[in-house]
Amino acid sequence: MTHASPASREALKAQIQRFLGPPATGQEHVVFVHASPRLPRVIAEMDAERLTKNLPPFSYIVVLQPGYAAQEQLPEGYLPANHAQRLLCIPFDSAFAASHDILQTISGPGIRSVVILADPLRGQDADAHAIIAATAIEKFSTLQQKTTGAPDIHTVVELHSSANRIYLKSLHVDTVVCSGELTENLLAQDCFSPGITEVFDKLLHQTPGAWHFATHAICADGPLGHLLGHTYRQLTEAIIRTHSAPLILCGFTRKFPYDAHAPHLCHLTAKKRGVIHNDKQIDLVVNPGHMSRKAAERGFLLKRGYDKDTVLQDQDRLVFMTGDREAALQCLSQMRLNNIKGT
Amino acid sequence: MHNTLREKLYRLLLPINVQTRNSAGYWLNFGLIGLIVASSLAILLEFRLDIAADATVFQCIDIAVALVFLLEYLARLYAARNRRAFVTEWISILDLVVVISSLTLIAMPFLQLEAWDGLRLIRLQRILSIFRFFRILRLFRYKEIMHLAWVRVRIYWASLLYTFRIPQLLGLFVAFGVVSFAGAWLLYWTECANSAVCQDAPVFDHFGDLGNAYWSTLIMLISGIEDKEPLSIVGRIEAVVILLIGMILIGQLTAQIVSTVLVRFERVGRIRMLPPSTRVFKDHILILGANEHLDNIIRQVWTAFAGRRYIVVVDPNAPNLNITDPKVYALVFALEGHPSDPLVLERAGISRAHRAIVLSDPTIEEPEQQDSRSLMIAVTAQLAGGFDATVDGSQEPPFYTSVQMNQMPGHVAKHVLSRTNFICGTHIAEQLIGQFVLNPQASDIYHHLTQITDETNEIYLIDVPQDLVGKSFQEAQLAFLHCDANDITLIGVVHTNEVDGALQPFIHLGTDANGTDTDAVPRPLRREDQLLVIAYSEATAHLESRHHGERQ
Repeated sequence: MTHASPASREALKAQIQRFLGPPATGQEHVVFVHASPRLPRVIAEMDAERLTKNLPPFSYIVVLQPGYAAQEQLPEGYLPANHAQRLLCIPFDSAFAASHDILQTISGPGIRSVVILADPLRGQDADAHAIIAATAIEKFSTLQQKTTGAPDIHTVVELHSSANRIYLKSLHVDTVVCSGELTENLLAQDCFSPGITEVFDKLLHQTPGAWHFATHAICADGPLGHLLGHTYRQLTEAIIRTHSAPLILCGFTRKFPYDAHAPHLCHLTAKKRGVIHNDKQIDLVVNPGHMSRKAAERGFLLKRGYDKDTVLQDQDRLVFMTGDREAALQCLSQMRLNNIKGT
Repeated sequence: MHNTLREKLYRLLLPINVQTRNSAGYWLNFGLIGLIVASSLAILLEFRLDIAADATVFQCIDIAVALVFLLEYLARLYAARNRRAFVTEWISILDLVVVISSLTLIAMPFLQLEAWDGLRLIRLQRILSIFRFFRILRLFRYKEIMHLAWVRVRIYWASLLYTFRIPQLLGLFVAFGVVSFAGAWLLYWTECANSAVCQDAPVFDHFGDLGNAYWSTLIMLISGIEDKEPLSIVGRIEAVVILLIGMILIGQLTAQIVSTVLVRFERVGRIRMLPPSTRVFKDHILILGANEHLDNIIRQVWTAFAGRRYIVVVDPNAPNLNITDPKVYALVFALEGHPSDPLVLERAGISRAHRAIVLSDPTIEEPEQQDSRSLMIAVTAQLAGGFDATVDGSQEPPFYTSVQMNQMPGHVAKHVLSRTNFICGTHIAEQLIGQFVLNPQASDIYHHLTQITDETNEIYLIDVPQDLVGKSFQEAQLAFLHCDANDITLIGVVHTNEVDGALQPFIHLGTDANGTDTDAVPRPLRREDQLLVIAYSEATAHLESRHHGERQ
């Protein structure tokens, strides 16, 4: 990694600021670390999602992999065509050099997320480089949070091998997408439910009105506050009985106080079973019932028991499937549960 | 149905099959099978042996068994979803006959049967005794698991024969026996034929006695050292031949034993090799090729099928594949050979396999070439699977292949390989990254749904239960919501519609399953549709599908 001269760094900062425009415009942007043949398709997915919600498309900053100073040097197909106005490529060594000033510039108020793609030019070392980049981003984000109180940067990291997931455990990386693990899981699922991958493809493909999973918090002072105090069963029944409700309730998430021993124990159990890691202090309860209560008794994934009669609490997040998130939230906000049996 | 004692009892008493995850039910079923077999043997013994002395013991056993059977029958009756249907089932009638006959026989001494003449009493006793024999027919209830157990024993036996080279060793022992026996007789006859020589000889002819000849031939064959020699020239020539054969046979035998021991040591920590006789393999999972994903896929398949399905890995590097967890790999076999070779696939029992998974070849560098090779293997697998991959509507049971790809194949490949599902992890990863940026919390949900463990949910396709046929999607959702016995969330329907004369499945997620907006009334569920559900296990999902049907 070479250090760029102060003059060139200043020039780059100015270029980024010009590209992002003044903060008042409200333009959001996403930063990609490493260009990759997957980048054009990821950008296409994001644009499609923004289009379905009638929102302006993101701007994209691509931090090129080390050794590539300009986008022209990259192999063909690594960057999307026809995105010149909304895409800026910057060299890796300038952005991630010792000082954080470039990072500070690219992570301005409009930053939506940092996506670290596995570098295809690194072969077997791609995961190692992605982890190093994730460490740099998280270190910067933590520092910013402490010094200026800026919000945490949402980070998505792409890994090839699920074995490397463990290295990101100590970092506060929000999402790890592991293509190898997905392949393994889907191949096994397809084995007993042929064609199930089509369902995932449908759930993940961004087209207007396409059904997908979403979450939303229930806050006492929010529009869904009236749902508090009701059980999961009551809410589900109310949704089902609402004719053509644009959502299906699938579960909820609940935060619980930090238990210093829990992650360690959980990790040990997970290691023993060799499949799952859950180091977050959040219980994700999908399809609640006596099976999730049993899972809690085993103390593996869930820390507490939940079933269909669990009462929804403040700060719980509803997990639902919807084809139109805004319509779903509107439906939930207008929902009255008084006429549901047992309410 | 709520998770009541009746429901728990129902699940406990369900005949176990390959999908059963209830370990208490598993042991209870095996206990009852053992009791049926043991009590049937006891009846046989009672008839065959003179048991006058032990009559009390047998009576006590009979009373205990009869009471257990009575309790079992009452428990089944109590737990049955449809009691009228249960009572009229032939297997339940048989249960009842066995229980009544046993109890009547036991109670006969206490009944007031003085009015009956001796002949009628004896006839009644005989009829009841015959009915007691019917208890062996009760095993029919457990036919599925008994068949599985039988298959497992046969596979274990085949593996044992192959691992310890038992046929080769047996062959050598037989050869050894034949040579020693034939050699002893030959020497004995030769020496007797030269009796003139023997009579004139100053010393006693050792081989003139058959017992001595046999003993000395054995010594010659095994050790090659024997101080007793035949007296005739022909006998001595024969002894030399026997000595040479002994050297060969003993050399072979030693080599076989040493080689077996060495191979056993060498293969510690490696996947067991598939025995040559694979005709017993049925409904197993074939994994064609091996790469870095193999171990995790085996773990996931093991979890998905509760560790009760055999897995065969076909790869040129099969002998070097390692075991990472002996429990997970207990039913995994490896077969050396290229997965695109139809003969190798035939040996792996592809025509009887449940599913095949094709993994990318890691020895090929270019992703496009890897995909081409995977496609070729998929075509070979479909052809070797027993029907022409290009012809749909085959009468053969559906054999699906899942293929790992780097890039999604074109429409032609998808059309030609109609029963092949292509899994492109990178493609899904791209979609996930796109969605996670906009919907950050979704990552945990997809992570949860794509993993197969006992503690996580997966998406399953199940048949429409009989009582939900004709009902709307909304009504089906409510039915599943209020069924607390099995946790299931209905999320969609796969409708089968006719397109260009052929039936094609269409996935409808969420309330799209109700039909289009232009439909005046929600589309009712049909028998040929399938439901998309979120459930904790395949067994749970199918169990519920079946139970809804039983309530009819």
